[in-house]
Amino acid sequence: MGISEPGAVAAEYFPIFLNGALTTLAIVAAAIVCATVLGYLVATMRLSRNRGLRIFAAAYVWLFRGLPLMLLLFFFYYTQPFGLTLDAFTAGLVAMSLNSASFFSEIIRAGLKSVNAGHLEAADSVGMNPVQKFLRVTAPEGIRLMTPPYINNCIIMLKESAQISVITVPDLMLQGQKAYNSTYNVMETLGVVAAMYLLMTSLLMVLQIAIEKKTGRKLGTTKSLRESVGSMA
Amino acid sequence: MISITGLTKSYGSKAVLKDVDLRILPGEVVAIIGPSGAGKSTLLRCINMLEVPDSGQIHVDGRQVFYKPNVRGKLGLLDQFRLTWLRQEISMVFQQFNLWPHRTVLENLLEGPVISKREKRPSAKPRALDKLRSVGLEEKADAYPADLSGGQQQRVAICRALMMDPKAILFDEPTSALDPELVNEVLDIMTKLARSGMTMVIVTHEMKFAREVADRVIFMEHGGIVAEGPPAEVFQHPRLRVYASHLSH
Repeated sequence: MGISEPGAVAAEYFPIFLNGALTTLAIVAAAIVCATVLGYLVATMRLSRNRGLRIFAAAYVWLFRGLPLMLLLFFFYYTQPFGLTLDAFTAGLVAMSLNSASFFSEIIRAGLKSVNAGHLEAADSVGMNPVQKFLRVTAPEGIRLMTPPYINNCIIMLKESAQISVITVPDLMLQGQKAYNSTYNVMETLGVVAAMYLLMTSLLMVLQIAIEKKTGRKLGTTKSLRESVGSMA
Repeated sequence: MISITGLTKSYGSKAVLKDVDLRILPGEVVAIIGPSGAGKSTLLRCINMLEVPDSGQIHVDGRQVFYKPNVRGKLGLLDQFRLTWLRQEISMVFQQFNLWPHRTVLENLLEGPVISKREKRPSAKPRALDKLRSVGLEEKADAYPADLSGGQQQRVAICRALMMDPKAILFDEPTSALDPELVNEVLDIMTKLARSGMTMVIVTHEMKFAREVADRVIFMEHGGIVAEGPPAEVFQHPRLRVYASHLSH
């Protein structure tokens, strides 16, 4: 196939791009879940009274925040770490999760520390147990502060996930590369790929605004501030 | 009702409570007064274990509320079960109100009974509205704490404490964070509560309130109780007169 009609590449390869986008979404979503759980564990270790746990958590953050994602991808895909042969998707997922957990743990730590100590004491004073206290007070209050940097980091993860194409995960980037390698229409291919990435990151931004609106309405604004904003509108 | 013997507590090398004994009878209104740093708030917070004492004994309703010192000579925290029992029996009102900002006034009142005591929401809700009515805030049920004045927030916090049907309520400087013109609306509610027979332990700087409402006044200085007894008696104590002379009113 030579130089094609405008729009022909986009039309012909659209199902393949869509497939790539779904792969990107799947691996990023899985990595966000894993990194959030792992990040939460590291954050609680970092805030623990046990010195050993604190040092372990600090070392974790130091290591995985300090290494390039690409290096982790190569490590988990090519070296058969700990005798395990990982397929490309799993290697990508593990590398992204470990890397992002180091950032998430810092965000979650800041969120946990931002929770008003008096509000936690109030929970104690009505006899809530630690689990109830976490679910009813710590989480809802912490989420307010965590949302902007957390979603920001999710957006970064989504974009950086393009790197997994180098270890042959058939994500959106790799499908784009395949398409322009066979059609030579780089401009149009990249245009479609770019539009798809932007669509996905935009969805995350909409989510961020929705969460901020929901939590901020209750927490952040006082009556007078809300009224003055209202009167300006 | 509450009996405390030999309570000590220190932060690092600074002794905050030195061998304090205290007995609170059912229905009694006790005001704890004294200069800043006397250990008043720490004593109060030890009663419901928000602060863990170094040694001593606390009994609530005849039940001991913490363990003897362990091998390392420290008192461990209660196991969660007994801690929950204690805090369901004894409510607390804080200087900074500490209402949960992400919940409405009504939800703030329902948290304790519904989440902690597992009362059904339909039975707790009318009680909550009743309590709000008694402090003149029923129309604020669906407002968020940030929409209320400090005095209103503290009245809601008192309702929240009452929702637990407590045997006693601890007040930790309940009016110290309020603008002067809002102090009385809170003191009025507390006076009503005292007249209704509620057991109350109040750390306060409001001398007039302590003199007029308390059954017993406890004057603390340097981590110990200097004088205690009926207000008329304690207010004659020379140390208290020195302290009172530093206050503007």
